[in-house]
Amino acid sequence: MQYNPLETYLQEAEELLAEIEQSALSISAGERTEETINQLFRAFHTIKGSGAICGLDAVAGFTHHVESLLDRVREGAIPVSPALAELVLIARDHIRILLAAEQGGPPAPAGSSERLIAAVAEFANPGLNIPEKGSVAPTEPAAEHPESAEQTWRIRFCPNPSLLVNGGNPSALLRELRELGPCEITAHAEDVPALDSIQPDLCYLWWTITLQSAADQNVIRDVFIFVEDDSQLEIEVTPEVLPPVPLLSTAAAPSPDRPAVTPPADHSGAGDAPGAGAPLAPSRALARESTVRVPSNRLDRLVNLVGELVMNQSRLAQAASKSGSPEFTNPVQELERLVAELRDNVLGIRMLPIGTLFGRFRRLVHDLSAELGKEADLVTEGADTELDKSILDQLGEPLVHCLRNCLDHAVEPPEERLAKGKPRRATIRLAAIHTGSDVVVSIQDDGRGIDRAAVRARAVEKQLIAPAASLTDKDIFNLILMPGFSTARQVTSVSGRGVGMDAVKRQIDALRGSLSLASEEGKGVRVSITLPLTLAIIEGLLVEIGSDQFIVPMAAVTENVELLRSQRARNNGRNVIAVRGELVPYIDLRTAFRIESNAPSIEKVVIVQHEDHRVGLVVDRVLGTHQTVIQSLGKFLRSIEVVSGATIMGDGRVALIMDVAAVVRFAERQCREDPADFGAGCRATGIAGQPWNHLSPAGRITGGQTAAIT
Amino acid sequence: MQITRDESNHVLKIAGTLEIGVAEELHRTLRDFVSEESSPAVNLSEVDGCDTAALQLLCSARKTAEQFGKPFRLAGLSAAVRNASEALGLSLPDVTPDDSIKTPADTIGAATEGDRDAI
Repeated sequence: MQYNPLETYLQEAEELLAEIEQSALSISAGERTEETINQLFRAFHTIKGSGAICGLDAVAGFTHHVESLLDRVREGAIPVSPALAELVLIARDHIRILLAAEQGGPPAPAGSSERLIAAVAEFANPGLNIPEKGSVAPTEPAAEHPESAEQTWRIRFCPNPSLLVNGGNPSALLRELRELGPCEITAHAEDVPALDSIQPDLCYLWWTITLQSAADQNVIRDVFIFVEDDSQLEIEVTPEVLPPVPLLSTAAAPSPDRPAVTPPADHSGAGDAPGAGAPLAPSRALARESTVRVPSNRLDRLVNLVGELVMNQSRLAQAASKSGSPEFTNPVQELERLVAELRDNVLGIRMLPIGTLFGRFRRLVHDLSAELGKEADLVTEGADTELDKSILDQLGEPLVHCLRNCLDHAVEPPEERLAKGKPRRATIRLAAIHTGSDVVVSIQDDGRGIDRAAVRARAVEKQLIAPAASLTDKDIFNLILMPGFSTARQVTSVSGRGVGMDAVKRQIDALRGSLSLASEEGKGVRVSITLPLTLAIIEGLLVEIGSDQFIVPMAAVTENVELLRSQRARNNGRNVIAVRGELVPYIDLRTAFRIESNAPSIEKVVIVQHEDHRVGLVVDRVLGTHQTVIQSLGKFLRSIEVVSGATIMGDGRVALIMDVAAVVRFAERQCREDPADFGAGCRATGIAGQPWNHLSPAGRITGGQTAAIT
Repeated sequence: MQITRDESNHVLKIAGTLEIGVAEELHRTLRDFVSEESSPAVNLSEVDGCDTAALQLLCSARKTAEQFGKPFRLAGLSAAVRNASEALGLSLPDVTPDDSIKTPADTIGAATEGDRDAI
């Protein structure tokens, strides 16, 4: 793939903008450390510098002004304040618009850059009458530091040998340095080897520079910001003030004392260990992990290949065990171990910390609470918890929805909170934690909690439940997860548009996760979302109906029991089975899937957990557990609702992976639409009579009605 | 980058843009030239761009010639080369060991004189 510097820049800028947002929000929340301001400055500086290199002058020009403002903040000339944070956030959003415009998006509104630049300038120099700025040309550096006294700086710069290969340009650095004030620059060529040992693309030159400038050390260091890592950079102030020197001296420069530190380390190529003998900034260089950007479709391809490898390996293992020859089986076993390790490692590459997602929400909570006149802080926990990228990609929207609900419905206005004896600012806790093979993401607030009576009244009004229905807390909470249910009487820009928690639940179901609510009135709500670590592999139970094989995800399976033909007969065709005293309804998959074969005299019922209820799935045989690499069914078969994917078995046969929730939904629908065809038993009891049906999406069948049918 | 080697007056003429992309080729050319010539001279009067990697190679060529006890001359420096070395703070004596820097006019003059002698 061809290297595209602009694309790399845009990706980097996106990350930096996220970083800026976090820093600004930290300032807004009262955290005012010097490091936060430095981080902000560096981020804007990088966006400006790289933007200019990529020819994005509008971005670079605008960013320059914000950078200048932050420079003054760094100097202490302007105090750090929430107003500054707001301005930085607005500037950050504007840069985003400018970047989007560069990528073919809508252009920024005419004059918006100029207006913002004027606002930034006004902030930097309050009270000054800022002239209309049509141009975004950088201001003179001298004007930025009018109050500082000039100092003489001695700088020693030994770049990383790979500076040139990495696109570094010493001339440009030195030119930028010259803009800070008169300087004397001496390049040292002593370390340049002879032609027989030189590597022409490595940098052997190093520099000593004497700079006379009012700029402080941070400003000088920022000149080297892109090359500082792995390079040796010493900046120190010298007591004497040099007379102005000609900008460029071509005369033989006085040979300065060679610095005590060994210059450009080892040029042999192999031994370019960063930080070896580096006196400055080694911690930054060491702390930054080396990373490689890989397009996610390549990663998906890799995962698919590994999936195929795992399946082929499984076929090979089956063939080996049939052959019975140890010369064949031993290496195959070794291969099995390697393939398993490869699979775990490849899946590990797709794991990303959930913090990348959490980061976005601080801004959301900040903006929304301001819009709604509420005060809330978002506290995140477990940001390091890792989840598969494909899950993370689809988790953003449901979480945004939950947070919006939280702020709109649950969190009270500050006065109401104070009246209730609660702290003025609400706290929303967003946490992620590993539990076995799952990750539980929870959103907890300290707001007013779910008003059970209001939920109930709304459900009766919408005819979702009978007025006299007796409901547990869980049943009431589940009502909230039904389509179109909203207790918000007033539609705001935040919520109450009828796209409610049911959409969230559907999305979580699609991720093979589950969602539950808990609430204590007056104390808050907790939404818990349980998600699998990865979507690529599941532990499954392999079952057979006739000659067809299916996988039931193990996470849903609770137990297996036998179903004798005589038991069926005893129940008068009602599809229920007694499991240790509890009546569990079951779905006859042979009938549901219209598989034409005869059932054995002893069938198996795989009992699965669906929401809060147990449901049985009747199959012919249970063949055992199977680690399943999920393959998508392709676009022609994607509409098959009850199946979430397929896998290829050791003998080459395809087994479909059941989506338990969809199978139950499907059976419910069949029951309602075609009870006669689906089997008398279903109509009578099994599905329709269950309590969850009170709450089913299309659940017009209330408890009373069901009883009448039964 | 265009390279022409004039065997008669031991001058290697390099023209065009000298940057890291052609550094390998420049390296090979200079290495062969310096090892083969007893008095290597490089004419840079038609160089229109020059980066750090190229200037470093010229420093290396000079060092190599010194190791063999050969004089190394830069017979002509274009403004681009001069500006690039000045921007880097690379003083010209680092490139030329003696004061034998010749301007294009000097080189042309010398060549003309040589031609005249030959005639």
